[in-house]
Amino acid sequence: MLTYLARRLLWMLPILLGITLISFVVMHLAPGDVTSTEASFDPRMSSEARERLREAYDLDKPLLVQYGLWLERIVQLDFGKSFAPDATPVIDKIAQHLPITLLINVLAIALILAIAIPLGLLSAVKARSLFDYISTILVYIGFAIPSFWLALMLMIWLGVEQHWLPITGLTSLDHEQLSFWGRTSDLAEHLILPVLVSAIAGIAGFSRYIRANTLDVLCRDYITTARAKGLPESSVIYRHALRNALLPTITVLGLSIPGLIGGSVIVESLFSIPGMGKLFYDSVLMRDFPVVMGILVIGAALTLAGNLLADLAYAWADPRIRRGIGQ
Amino acid sequence: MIRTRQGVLSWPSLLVLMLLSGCQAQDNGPGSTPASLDEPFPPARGGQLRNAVGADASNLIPFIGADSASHEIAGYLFNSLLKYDRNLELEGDLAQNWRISPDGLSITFTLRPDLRWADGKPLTSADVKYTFQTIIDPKTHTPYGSDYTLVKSLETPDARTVVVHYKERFAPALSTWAGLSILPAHILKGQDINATPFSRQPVGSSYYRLGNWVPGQRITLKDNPLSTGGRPLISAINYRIMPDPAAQFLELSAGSLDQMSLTPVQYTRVFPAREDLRARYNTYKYLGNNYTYLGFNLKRPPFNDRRVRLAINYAIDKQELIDGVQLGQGLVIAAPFKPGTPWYPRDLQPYPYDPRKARALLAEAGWIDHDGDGVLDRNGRPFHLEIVTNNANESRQLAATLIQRRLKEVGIDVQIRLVEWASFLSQFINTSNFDAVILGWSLSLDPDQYSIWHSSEQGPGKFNFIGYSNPKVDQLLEAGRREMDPQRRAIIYQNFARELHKDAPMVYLFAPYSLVAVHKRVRGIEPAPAGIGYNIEDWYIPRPLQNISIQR
Repeated sequence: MLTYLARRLLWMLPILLGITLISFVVMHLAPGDVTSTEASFDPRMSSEARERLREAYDLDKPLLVQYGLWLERIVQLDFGKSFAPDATPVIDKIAQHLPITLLINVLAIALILAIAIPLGLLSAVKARSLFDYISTILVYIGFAIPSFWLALMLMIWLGVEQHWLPITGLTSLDHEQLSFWGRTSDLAEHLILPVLVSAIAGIAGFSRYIRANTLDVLCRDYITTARAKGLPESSVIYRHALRNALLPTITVLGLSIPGLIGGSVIVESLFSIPGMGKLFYDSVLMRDFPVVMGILVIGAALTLAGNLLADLAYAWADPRIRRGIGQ
Repeated sequence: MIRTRQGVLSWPSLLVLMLLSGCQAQDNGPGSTPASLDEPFPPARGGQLRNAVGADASNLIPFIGADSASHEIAGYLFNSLLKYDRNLELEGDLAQNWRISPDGLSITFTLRPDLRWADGKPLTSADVKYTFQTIIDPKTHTPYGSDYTLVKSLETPDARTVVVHYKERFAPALSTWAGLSILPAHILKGQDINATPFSRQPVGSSYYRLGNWVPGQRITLKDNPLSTGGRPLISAINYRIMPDPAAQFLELSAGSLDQMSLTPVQYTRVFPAREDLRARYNTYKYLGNNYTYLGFNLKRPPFNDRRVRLAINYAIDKQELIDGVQLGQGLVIAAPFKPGTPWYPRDLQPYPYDPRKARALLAEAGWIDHDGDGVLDRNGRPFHLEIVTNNANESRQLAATLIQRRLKEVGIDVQIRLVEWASFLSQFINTSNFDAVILGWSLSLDPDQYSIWHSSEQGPGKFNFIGYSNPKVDQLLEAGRREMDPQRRAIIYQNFARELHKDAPMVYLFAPYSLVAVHKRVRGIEPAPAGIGYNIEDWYIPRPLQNISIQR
């Protein structure tokens, strides 16, 4: 097991290096750089000033030299400074945006699991019943609704018309003056809509996934055996079927880790939430290369780590795979 | 600066606006009934203004943070030597008065007495000197240093006097000093201006000082009791960072914002249809400082032929563009200046819509539909024209589509290409690789447009990317920069505008109106040629309307 882990970890290094090289090259293939973005298209800006800025950002050097310089910094875990006028260290920028996106996505995943697992399971157990049909229809609607549309409808209904929930932002203007519980409930109120909107498509997809898996497991011989032994149906479902039906979800959860930090541009823009999705999108538009690379590297590292964790969790949960690794 | 880019989600925004115009939100505006909003109340100190801004500020040192959000916030914090008043004329800001030497080569500014920074330290000519030296320092990451390349030296004989000597006469000089926010030397001296914590904890001298800044969420400004121009009446300004214009409008509908720029759809369709909004908000309309144009690549045939450019000018119905794109909220112009300013020649008329004249001009230039396919041709080559513009600007796309139809009517086949902004600049503009572009220029308050029109300003990264070259215009632009007498200078620029009009290097499509909604609880607003924000210190919120539930 340990050799397996060591081998996997060692493999991750060249993969990560490859990802960074490709990302770096692809990003620099996009025309334009930070000196040719909106704020700089100003008749007061002379071309000499633009050249000076390019020099200051090392953009006048050949691409491979730029990559070398970047790599040299990154092995010392220095992600560099943003090209934006704030010149904030990239790592600080990410640290500022990441917790917000993490919070929303962790809550969204919790909501997805809490609703999708029972829903999928029940649909499978009651396959082809009225409940199954209705939940199928609802799930497909949830899948098909564009999240920006749903968000706007909820904002209009719950925010503008009913005044039940805040429409945008993470906290109220008077947040700092509130008591601890006041602050907590203020934050919770602000999170309801973004978390709900982030979760809707996931609930739909995930519950279908669980339903299919459970149906698959319910046809297996050991379930027939369990039933033949006269075990009560609840025991057959919850003790024998559920665990096996949930196994593949470990993989799905592992794969959702990069999504946890990637954030969503649409939800974050609509709800005015300063998360990673918005940061990434703005950085790409601004050609803020250090920030884009920082997010890509962290994203890639987390994707690889997520895959590894999913494999390990899988091995832990399923003895067959464990044995395979041992060989 | 070009004005571009609506939000990233402009089409959903449109959708929600259409939906909103049909749904009536119930009116429970914050803490006040619509009736009390119309009552006259005396001015009072206190209250807070709730604003929204589309992006977080990046750097509050004004000449480094070039983005519009930083500019807006920093505008409340810092003063310049001079400023533009309600009628867009220069007046003293930190300077009590100024004097130009008879040879036009020196300007002497005298600062007001007893100026203070928000931290209580005196503001002196040393601060002006420090700011000047910093902006011209090649190590400073600023695009704006070139405004001061003609300055030979800057002297500070005493704490209240600043004397600037120029290498040659430079008429836009005063305007450059109105654009330079003075920074505190006592805090910044010895620091690296590109990486100073001051950019996020600024100390200024103007009406407000920075209160609380929660990155990505909100920026709060508090009144500055030591302000140069006296203490403002409104105690705090709260900026919430809201990238999506649709979300901003929802907050306005919910009564949680005091002020917002409106789109033409919101101004002309949504507001008239929604009683609840009209009960709570006043709307204002004034001419902005920008215009949208169709620019030709003058180096490329057939656009190097004046007759072809004139023909296209006659073939485009500008009023139709204003009605279709701006829903009527714009003005047809005939010169690259704001109408009503001294440099805009009053007698100059825009080219009218006249397709017959357009066809005649095209025929004169040799463009005739020989093969009867509906597209003009000359020497066997059909008249194709590609219009390039940036993809995130809906009004430019609409304008391109309307132009496409009108030009088709006179036999010109138009293709439209929409490109992402940074690619647009690097692949098309900087390399002058286009037939025609739709773009906009924001106008500075000084009439000098040397960098846009002078023939020497061509080349990669320069702003005369349409390749305009006219010795007479060059001469007028040079004369305009040297003429210190305002009246003679105005005549020079009027002649420049006439010459441009005759040459028609671009089609001025329209100058859009700025449309703003402000909550009725905010009083003291007096619309003027400068817009509404010039007297922010006199705005007030009457005491009965100050206590509102802050934000839901």
